[in-house]
Amino acid sequence: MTRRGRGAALVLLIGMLLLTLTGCVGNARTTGAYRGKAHLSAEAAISSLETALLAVQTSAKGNLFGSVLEVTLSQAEDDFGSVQQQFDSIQPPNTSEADKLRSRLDDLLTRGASTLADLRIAARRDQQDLMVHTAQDVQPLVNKLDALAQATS
Amino acid sequence: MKLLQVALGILTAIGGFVDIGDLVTNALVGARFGMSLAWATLVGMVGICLYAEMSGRVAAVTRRGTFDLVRERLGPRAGLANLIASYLVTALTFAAEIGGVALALELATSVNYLLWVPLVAFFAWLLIWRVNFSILENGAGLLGLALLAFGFALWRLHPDFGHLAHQIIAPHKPGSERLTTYWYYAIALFGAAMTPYEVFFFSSGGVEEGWSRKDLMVARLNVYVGFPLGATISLFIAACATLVLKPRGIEVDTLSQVALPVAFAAGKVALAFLILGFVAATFGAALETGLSCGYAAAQYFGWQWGKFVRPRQASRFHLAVLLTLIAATGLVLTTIDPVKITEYSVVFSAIALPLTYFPILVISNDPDYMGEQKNGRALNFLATVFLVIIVVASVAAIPLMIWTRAGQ
Amino acid sequence: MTETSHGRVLDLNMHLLDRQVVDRDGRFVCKVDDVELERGADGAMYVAKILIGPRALGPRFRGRLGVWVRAIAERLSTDPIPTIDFAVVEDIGSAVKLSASLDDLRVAPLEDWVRDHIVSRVPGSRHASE
Repeated sequence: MTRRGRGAALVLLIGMLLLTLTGCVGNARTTGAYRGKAHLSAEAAISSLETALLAVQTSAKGNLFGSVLEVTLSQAEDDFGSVQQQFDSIQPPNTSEADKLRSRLDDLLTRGASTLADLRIAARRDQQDLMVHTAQDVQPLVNKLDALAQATS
Repeated sequence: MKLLQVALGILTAIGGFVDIGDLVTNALVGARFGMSLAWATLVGMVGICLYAEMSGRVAAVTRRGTFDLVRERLGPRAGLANLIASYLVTALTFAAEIGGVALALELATSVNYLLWVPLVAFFAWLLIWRVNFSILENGAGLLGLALLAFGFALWRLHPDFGHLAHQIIAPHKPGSERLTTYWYYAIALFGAAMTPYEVFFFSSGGVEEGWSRKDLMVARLNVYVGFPLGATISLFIAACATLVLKPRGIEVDTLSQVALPVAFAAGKVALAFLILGFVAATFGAALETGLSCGYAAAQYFGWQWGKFVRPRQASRFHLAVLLTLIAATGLVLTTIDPVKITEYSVVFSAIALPLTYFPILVISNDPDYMGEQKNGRALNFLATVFLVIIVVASVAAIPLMIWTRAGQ
Repeated sequence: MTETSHGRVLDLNMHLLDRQVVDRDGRFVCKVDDVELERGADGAMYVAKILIGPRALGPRFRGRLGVWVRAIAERLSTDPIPTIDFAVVEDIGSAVKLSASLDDLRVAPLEDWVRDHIVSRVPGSRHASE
């Protein structure tokens, strides 16, 4: 390969690497692509919610230190927040199916964010009972998100 | 007395051979792929046993460090390529370890990890500057044994061991995952199990501790018992994640998720041990990676190196370590997630492996250096097979990283 | 040179270049970054000096890399390239052993500078690790 060729190939490789690593989120041109993004977002959301639920259950059993509980809940909340932010920033294609999907997932994400915030607040205030009670909202949300994930897989 | 020394060596080896890369990667893979990638950890274990033994034998026989000999035997250009690759990957791993200690301290105290980073960096420097090498190694290694809490938690989960074993021996990629992602994570596990720094730290450490031919047996025991037990802990980590996180659809991207299965299954005491183990293992690894960066530079350029001399007598070595520490700390302080740094560091480790392992194979075969202690035919055959494996992994890593968008 | 090594035939690449140089107490001095040869009275080539440092090593890299290393090194220092007279070499084995002590040689200006300006200022630099 000539020197120029090697240089160009290197630039291309670096460019591709950068693109990959920045995980650039942008448009989803087709409904199929949009469904794919919704699917990934739903799964990531489930992961954060289940993490929070597991932490609450473990804490309710008396198996978790307060510090670990707080850190886990706030990290789950942060992760969830960035999932929501990423999904919301995607421009949906101009179809009614995409719009319906968007509003359905958005609704679930908003409810999830609020539940996680409530859990975090209760944990920091050492309100074990309130936290366990709030956690009851998590499983139904997870089930709905799961249904959405199945529908978009 | 000798027996005690051997026992101590083995115990420290177990604790010492798990670092943030192993903690994160095995938990991540267990939660996504179950035990279907455990074979990659086991293959990596065999690889590092082979190459660490060679590297330790080189140190005991020649009483010189790996990089010292690489430049001599392969020439300054090949030596420089080896140095640059190893140095950069190890520095990245150093950053990951510093981040790992900070994350573990955050778990213990709920104080934000970024606030811990400068403190961790300072203590790492202080210990490298002042504390005796053997104390460092043995201390970190013994405390790292606390990671056996993963094994305890696994037992408490009452798994179907037969089923787990079946997944290990007859791996079956989960249907929901693509083949490319599967192989990407196999490479990540290789990188986590066979991190370059462990091999040249082992050889430089051997010189630090003044190994000679009569220490060969101890060095070998260290390797053949320590690394497999470290791999066992890695499998425990993956199994705990498989049993607790995978059914819930939890994807691992924080250290707290790595710890949850143990708390869930085994309670607060086990969790306390676990966090102690996190701190000890990652801090020990931070010291090792920091020293390794210094060893790499000093041995290539011929500077006096090591903790076995007074700092004044190895000024450039200590400066190199300090500058690397500053750069690594800087990287963590940019608030890039340490878990992300870790995930990249293991894959880049896999990419750098051929450059760091090949010279070891060459030198340990050279009768001028090794005399009668050079490699036997069987060992050479096995080591060459591994070299082919890691070359394939190294070449495939970047395309797979691009294709799978770093494992998504 | 001592009697035994006088007239010894060396393959420069295999026996001398890039070897670690140690002083008479076993302390590390430097690497043999390059050598200077001279023609002896009998017409054979003898090694006259060991050359040390990036300005010695740079030219051994082919191509761009060598040019860069030398250019950078030349900017950093205008003193002559550090050398060790080959008469001081006592033995060549797995390392190049000198009959002189490290303290008598002035071959590592960077080490001296770092030691005097940075390392010495940090408490504890004189003590071995405990």
